[in-house]
Amino acid sequence: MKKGSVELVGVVKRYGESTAVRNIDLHIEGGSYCCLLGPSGCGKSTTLRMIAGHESVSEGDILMNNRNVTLLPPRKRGTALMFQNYALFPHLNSLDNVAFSLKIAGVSKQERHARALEMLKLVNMETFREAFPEQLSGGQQQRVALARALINQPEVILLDEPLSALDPFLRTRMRAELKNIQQQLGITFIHVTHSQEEAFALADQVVVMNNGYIEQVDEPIGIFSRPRTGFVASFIGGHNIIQGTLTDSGLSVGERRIIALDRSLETGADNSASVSLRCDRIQISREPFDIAQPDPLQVESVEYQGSYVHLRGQFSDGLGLSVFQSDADYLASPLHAGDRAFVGWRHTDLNPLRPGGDAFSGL
Amino acid sequence: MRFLTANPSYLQVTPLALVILLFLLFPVVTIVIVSFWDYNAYQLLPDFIFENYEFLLTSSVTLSAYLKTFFFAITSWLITLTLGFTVAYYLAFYIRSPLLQSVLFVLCTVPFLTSNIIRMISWIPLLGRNGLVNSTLQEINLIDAPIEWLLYSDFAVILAFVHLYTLFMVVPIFNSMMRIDRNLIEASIDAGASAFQTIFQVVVPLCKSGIAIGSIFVVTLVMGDFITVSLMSGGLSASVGVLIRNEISLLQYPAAAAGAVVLLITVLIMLSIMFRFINIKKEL
Repeated sequence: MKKGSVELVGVVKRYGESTAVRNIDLHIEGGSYCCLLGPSGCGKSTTLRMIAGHESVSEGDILMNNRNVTLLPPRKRGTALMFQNYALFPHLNSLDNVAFSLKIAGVSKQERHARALEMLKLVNMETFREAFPEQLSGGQQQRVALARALINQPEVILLDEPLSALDPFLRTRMRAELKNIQQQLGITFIHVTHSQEEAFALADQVVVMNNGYIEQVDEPIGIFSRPRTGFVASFIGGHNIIQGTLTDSGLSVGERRIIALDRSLETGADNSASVSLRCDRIQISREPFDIAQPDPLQVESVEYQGSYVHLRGQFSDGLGLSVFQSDADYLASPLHAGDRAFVGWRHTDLNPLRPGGDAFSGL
Repeated sequence: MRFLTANPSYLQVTPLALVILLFLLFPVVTIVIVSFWDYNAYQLLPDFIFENYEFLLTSSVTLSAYLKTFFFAITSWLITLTLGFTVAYYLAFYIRSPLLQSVLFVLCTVPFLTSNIIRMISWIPLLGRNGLVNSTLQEINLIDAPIEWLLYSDFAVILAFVHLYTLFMVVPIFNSMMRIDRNLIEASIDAGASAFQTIFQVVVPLCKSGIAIGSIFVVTLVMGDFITVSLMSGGLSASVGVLIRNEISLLQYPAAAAGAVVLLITVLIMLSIMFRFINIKKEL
């Protein structure tokens, strides 16, 4: 087994009466990039802090390399935490910030400075070794923080929303650098974020959390193409969720509409079931076509998004749909709010959702 | 007029400048002038002589008074610093609820609801020969005879200083501690630091300014004090302030003025050293 594997077994975190994390089981492969994804308050940061050892575990165990570390202090776990605001020591320059843990460990000044300089070189910050944190930009501070996290050769790096303090342009660049360093060093990165874009770009394994539970664990492709619950589908965006009742001929939505299915659905109480449908898998046209729904969709809004156009519409029976139309198709025959258009999809594009659980209702 | 409309900021500083001129600069200049005057038993004689300074700087009484004053200042500083830092640290890092934090903070200021003198005098029935402490200790047979050095001693003086001025340490240190990002403490723990290492490597450097400001308060207050020393030492110890006051009560104003000028210069030198440790702009 690769070094740096992390396993959570039945982990629970309670704060007095309220429960932040409810019974989580999770295995993170050594040397992989794992993203904990979810809205604020879903328990992802708490989970990270429990792995780091900055938060006690109410129930359950945390294992690293199959060693139980639940009760160990942070430094004994072989983890290093990178804070959201980087938490660089304002009274120390870059070099001393990076060398801080070596100073604590009693390493001689010469040796710790040499090793810290090496780390600064790794993140391309060696020219800023004398600079104090307040003299550095957000991106530079982040690199110093990364160097500080790396200096003890941890097996697991824990990153708490590391990119959220950066502007969007820098965010994409630092994202690439993080991935680069992770692959170069081959250590486990566990990264907390509320941006699905970030999680998809970085992760080998995405863990979607909601309300203290894990909703789904999968590769980014799996998360996006086969969201398991209504929450996942609505949180990552780009999906329609169609709720109805399961009948012999398909999913019955509203009073008359029957949506044909090609696979069985899990149903909840009273036979209710739901499916998700990717917005970009819906075909839309002014004229009816072979797989189109029999009645037209009333277009309510049209948003230009660059490479695609986001159309929102509603059927006369109240079922609303979002459609992403490629800009080429849109420009060939532009639709406007108030137009009527036919929409259709292949049965295979309908993704069954597990019943129960609520959809994500906005940030 | 045109100058003022072009530089309205001068107009804005005028009120404060006038206050400082009237209540600080004018008295100090007067004292400096008077310190060169001559005097006899009945009157002040305007003059320009150095005798006041000559006498002051050559007298062994001055030297011992200064030594005593430094001793009081340094001892009280060390004790108030230790106490103040501990109290501030407890308030800032151990008390999680902001409400309890403010309540405890206000509690610290309760002694300030009475005057300095009353707070000092209230020690007397406690520490005196037949005071509460001595009688209790005798009652439980810990001592046979009353402890003499509890009252009217250097111990009593320093006790009073600590009692009076610890809050002046607590407030600025607490203030700078509250500005320390709590993540820095976690970052320090993450780096493997023990609680003591975190305090000395992270917390102390980051509240250096608070410590310096508190030290300035305590040291200047103790250096200029005469009432605490004369009350609590029962007249047995003489600080520089006590000497000056004695000269005033004997109407030797020029001698007192010279003493005040020398004390002022001494304190200013001490302050200039302490100001090197802080970035005052950052604290405002």
